[in-house]
Amino acid sequence: MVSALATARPLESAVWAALHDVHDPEIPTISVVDLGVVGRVEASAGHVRVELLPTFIGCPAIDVMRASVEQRLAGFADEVAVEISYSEPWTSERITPEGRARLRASGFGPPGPALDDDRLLPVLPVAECPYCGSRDTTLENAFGPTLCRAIYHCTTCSQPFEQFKAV
Amino acid sequence: MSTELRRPTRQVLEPDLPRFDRRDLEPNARDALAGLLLTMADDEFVIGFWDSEWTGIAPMLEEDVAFSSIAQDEIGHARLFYEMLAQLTGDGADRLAFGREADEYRHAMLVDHARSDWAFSIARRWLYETADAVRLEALKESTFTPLREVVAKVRREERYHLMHIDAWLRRLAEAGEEPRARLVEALSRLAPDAPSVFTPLAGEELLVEAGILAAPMAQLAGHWSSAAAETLAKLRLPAPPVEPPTAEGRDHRPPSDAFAWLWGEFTSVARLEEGVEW
Amino acid sequence: MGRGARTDVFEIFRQEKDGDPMRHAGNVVAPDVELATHYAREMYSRRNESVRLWIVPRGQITDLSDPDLLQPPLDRSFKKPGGYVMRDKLEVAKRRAATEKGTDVD
Repeated sequence: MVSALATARPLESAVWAALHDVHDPEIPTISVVDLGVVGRVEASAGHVRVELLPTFIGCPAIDVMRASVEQRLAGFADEVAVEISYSEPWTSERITPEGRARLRASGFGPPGPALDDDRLLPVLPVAECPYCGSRDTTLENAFGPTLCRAIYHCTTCSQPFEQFKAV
Repeated sequence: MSTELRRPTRQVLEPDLPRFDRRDLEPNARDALAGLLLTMADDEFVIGFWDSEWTGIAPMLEEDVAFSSIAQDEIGHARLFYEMLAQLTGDGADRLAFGREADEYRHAMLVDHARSDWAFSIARRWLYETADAVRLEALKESTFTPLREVVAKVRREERYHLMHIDAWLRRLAEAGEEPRARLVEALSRLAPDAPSVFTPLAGEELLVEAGILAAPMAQLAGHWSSAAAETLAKLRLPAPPVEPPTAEGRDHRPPSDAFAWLWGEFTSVARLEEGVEW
Repeated sequence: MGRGARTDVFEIFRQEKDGDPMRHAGNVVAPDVELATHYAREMYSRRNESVRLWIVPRGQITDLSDPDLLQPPLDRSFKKPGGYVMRDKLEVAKRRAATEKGTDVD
């Protein structure tokens, strides 16, 4: 019993460390941990279970991430289960500060605060240009090349940029 | 025990529905729930495919992207509902989505129509999204945990759909002349089918009793109708019908020419080879 | 398209297969007939569903929908067969002819 408890924590830490190696298939600089898509991690002798929380239900990247996580964790236990879960909805606030910095560095605007559940019609917040930091930006399209991103244009530096949508 | 790597002997890929045992649901309630999930999945699937028809040919580039993105959301929602249904009934999600004959689908008549022109697609999208919002709200406190969790996520995404379609309804209505005339004509053509999203479901009283669905479909239709009438009145557009939805609202025997064509398209790969994966 | 670019509406007619009539399919908005043709191909033939398309500027179409010209209210049915009821008059005339000649009526 004692040995089981003593080994569970190192295994769990090892799993989390390994998850830092799994990146968003489209943005190779950001890990699934920093994106906040990792939910619960359970690690005990012989069994590892990782929950992934999709950003948007229809996003095809979650299937790729799931396969990558399975591959990365192969061998960590006799039984490795990677499940997509809705036990808590992924919200844009789950992106870590490290994640936000890496998004900016890749030219993406990190999302604003999660929208209040009861407000059905969100007012899109002012977006800050990830290139020059200006807030003089215009929304070009609330929909973008992927489900999670909108398209903005920076008046100050004349660059278009993709902005993560708050959900 | 060390954490040195060992080959796993079993990878669990498709777990049972979390925190719910399908045996907890009494069989009749389970059947009613399966019926509800099927209608929701088919609605999202069919409207997603119709709206994806605008990819490449929408009147402006921004709308090409918007419609494509929204359609991808809808098909993603459909996939999730089919997967939930599969876990509930033991059927396969792919078989449900691609393996049925055209007359076995249970989507609402509202989403059966071909995309037609832009005003028609906008009108239909508005009628559908506002109705779906009422249906989802009736499920947000569902006692069936997996559905409650999924609906919470879906509603967050649907906010962007509602924002988009409200803006377009107003845009066409206030543009006057031909755009407004086409919108009015589209709304009139769609009016008889508008309540079909709320077609009464077999056994729905069991769902209401179990707290899975907040109210019967006919009552939800009433909520939707009065809210929709208010928005349309402000834009001086014709009001939606007040007649309750009929039982034929989801009956596709025989399927319309339009849906038979769409079915041919979305099952074309599956029918090329049985069991094909793509 | 830039600000102030002229755009026209082009009505599109399509033929599904050889021998079929041209049918009105819808319309597209474009600054010129060349672009309208490209749009028409995308809208009405990208899945090979048409064998022919006509792209016609809306302004070139003369529209006639005056009911007085197309569906005039005057009763000219006497010009058509059946518009002039002859049967009874024919019966009477036959009877008269038969009596005059002294033969049986059919």
